[in-house]
Amino acid sequence: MEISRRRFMQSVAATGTSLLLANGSLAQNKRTKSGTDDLNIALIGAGAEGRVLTEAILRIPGIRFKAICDIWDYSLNYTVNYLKKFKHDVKGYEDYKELLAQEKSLDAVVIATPDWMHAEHANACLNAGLHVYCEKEMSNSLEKARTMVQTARTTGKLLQIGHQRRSNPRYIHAFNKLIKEVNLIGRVTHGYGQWNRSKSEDLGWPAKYVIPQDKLDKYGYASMTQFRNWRWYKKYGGGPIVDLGSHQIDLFSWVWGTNPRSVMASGGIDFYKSHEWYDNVLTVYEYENPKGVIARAFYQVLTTTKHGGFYETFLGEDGAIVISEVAARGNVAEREAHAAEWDQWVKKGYLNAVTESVSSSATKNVAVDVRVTAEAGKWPLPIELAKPAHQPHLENFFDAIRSNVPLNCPAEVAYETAVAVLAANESVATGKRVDFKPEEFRV
Amino acid sequence: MSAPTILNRFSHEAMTTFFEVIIPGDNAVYAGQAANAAFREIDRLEGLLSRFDPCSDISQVNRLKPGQSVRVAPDVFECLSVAAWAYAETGGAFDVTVAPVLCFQKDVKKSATIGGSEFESARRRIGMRRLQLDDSDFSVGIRADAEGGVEIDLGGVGKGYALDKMADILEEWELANYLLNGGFSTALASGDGDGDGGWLVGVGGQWGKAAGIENIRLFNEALNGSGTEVKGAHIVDPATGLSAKAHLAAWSICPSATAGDALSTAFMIMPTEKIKILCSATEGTGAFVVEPDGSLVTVEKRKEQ
Repeated sequence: MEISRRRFMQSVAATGTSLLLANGSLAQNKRTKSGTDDLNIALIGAGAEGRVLTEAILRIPGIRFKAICDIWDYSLNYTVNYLKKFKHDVKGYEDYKELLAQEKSLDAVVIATPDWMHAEHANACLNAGLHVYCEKEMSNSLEKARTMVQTARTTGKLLQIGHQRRSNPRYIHAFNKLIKEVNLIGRVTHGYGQWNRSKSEDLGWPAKYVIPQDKLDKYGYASMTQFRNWRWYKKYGGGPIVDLGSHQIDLFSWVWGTNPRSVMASGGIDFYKSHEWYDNVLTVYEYENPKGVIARAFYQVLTTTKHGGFYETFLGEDGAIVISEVAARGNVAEREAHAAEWDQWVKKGYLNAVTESVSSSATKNVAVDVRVTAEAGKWPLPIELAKPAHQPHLENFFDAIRSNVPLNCPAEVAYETAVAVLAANESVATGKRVDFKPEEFRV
Repeated sequence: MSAPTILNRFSHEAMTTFFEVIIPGDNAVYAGQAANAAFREIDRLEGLLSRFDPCSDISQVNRLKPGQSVRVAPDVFECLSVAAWAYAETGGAFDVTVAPVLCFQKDVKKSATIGGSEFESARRRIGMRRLQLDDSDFSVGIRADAEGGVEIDLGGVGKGYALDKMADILEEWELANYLLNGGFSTALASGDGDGDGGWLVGVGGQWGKAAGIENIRLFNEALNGSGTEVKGAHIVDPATGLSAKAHLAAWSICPSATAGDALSTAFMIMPTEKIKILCSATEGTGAFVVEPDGSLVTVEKRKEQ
């Protein structure tokens, strides 16, 4: 009988593992379990984002998964089986209410469900006395997002929202050190951000894993297509400007230390005619700090071209910083020719040495090398993120539970971002500029 | 002959190459959704396996110091385990830790006698036995005595692994009849293909054609090719630091694309006799090699009892 691909793989992989088997010697080098530091957690929502978070959490010592909840057994079984490989004693649930009723040893819950369910799930968990890490966007409704801030306050439990750049050491260095502490690029007059990705078909599902319509009805989904592609429908999500733009528009407020005073946006359902949300949105945000200093930022999200990918740029009078969650897409500071020398910042470890300088490529034996333009050098940022992008934000959450470390993105901060971002959709819908009052950002 | 079947073809760029999913049948929408799910799997794997991404598991292993270990994804662990199997089976001809000796071709050619050189010290930094695996929690460690750590590059096995994992996804979608193409050097075939007992796949390349093989029929197995005509002599023998010259081209047939990917690379380095021994000891595995004189040697899969 011919050998199957899977059996062959298992057989040769087992042989390969045995050849390099550590015989327990690796265990000695691992952090020993301290007992008191261990945290028991549950995951509600085991779809694509839930899997990304699971993968990152598995790399953090002392976190034990006890329960997984998803209404789709395809996702539920995948993650339960995955965690069992790591010897986590996990139980699967379809209904989060049953999970909360049954699981009495939990410390915290990680929520990665569609946006419209975040408030219900997060509030129930907080009210059950659990700390919550909830994916962004807080909600596709500001009213529901406000209840999350209020519940976190009344219960005194931690609520971290998943704007993970807030914990990324590269972003922290770029904004808190380079822009704010040493004023590297001077007054930051403008920001630019984009997230462009290629056109894509609607997500499908393996035929044998279709959810029966009565079960979809029970959980509020009109159809399997809408369940799988919830991000495109108004009932469940906020569209690409919220799914993607929220991560980056959040950075403008971080850099300028203030919320926007207005946004105007253009966009539409120009390409995917079966969707409800705008497939492209172009926005202009205005910021004014308490000293009356103005800054403007342009942000766009396109879903029919990947040109340029995703990154953010902050433009100041003395230079610019280009940064992206994927370092290969942006991780440099660029100096304006008139700015003071940056060599001191290299010596102090704030920047890496410039990769290409004008003088090193100058023509020999001439006093002045005349060329069309002298390209300014690009100074790489010295900080590398050496783990999955979501891991530092999750670590910050677990550290906050264990000690008094403040959350990097508590509910109040994420609410401010939700106000700013959801207004872009409003501006597209009305064709008018949305002006904010400072009190609109507070709960 | 059966009615001509519609072949739905979908393509995707990842791992600095081109992947293709070919699914016959009338339901192009379902086939496309399944193919997209498979392509998302490649992108996920690339994030774990790429040595160019500082956040990847492989980059984390490459930064370890002797005596340290790191927990990786089960996929990374499995890929390394298959690589370790291939390393052992090929007598070290296939080695994902070969990077330190790759840049010595000129030096080695210049000095007739090797020894005491920088090449020798680089050679001491390679070999998969510098790694340790712990399957209780999917940890990968560097042996305490492995000075200098490791430089893993899964380029010789990652593409095949991507195809095997794409096949897992398609099977979840209850698709049993498909052909997967990874950069035209790796193909994984499943099911009856064109209805004549598998998929007819072009072997291609100047050496194969000259030696008299143009296409072969694959049935639930992978064909992997390595040769000198596309990238020149790019495969380096870890033992000598010189580019592999044992054969002009080599192909493996193997139930798994991962293992086959590793084997076809090793076959470029291994003498024909050793390839025959390996195939006779390994289920479902065969080879074609084009010898330096242009002649073709076919190593049949062993007959199962």
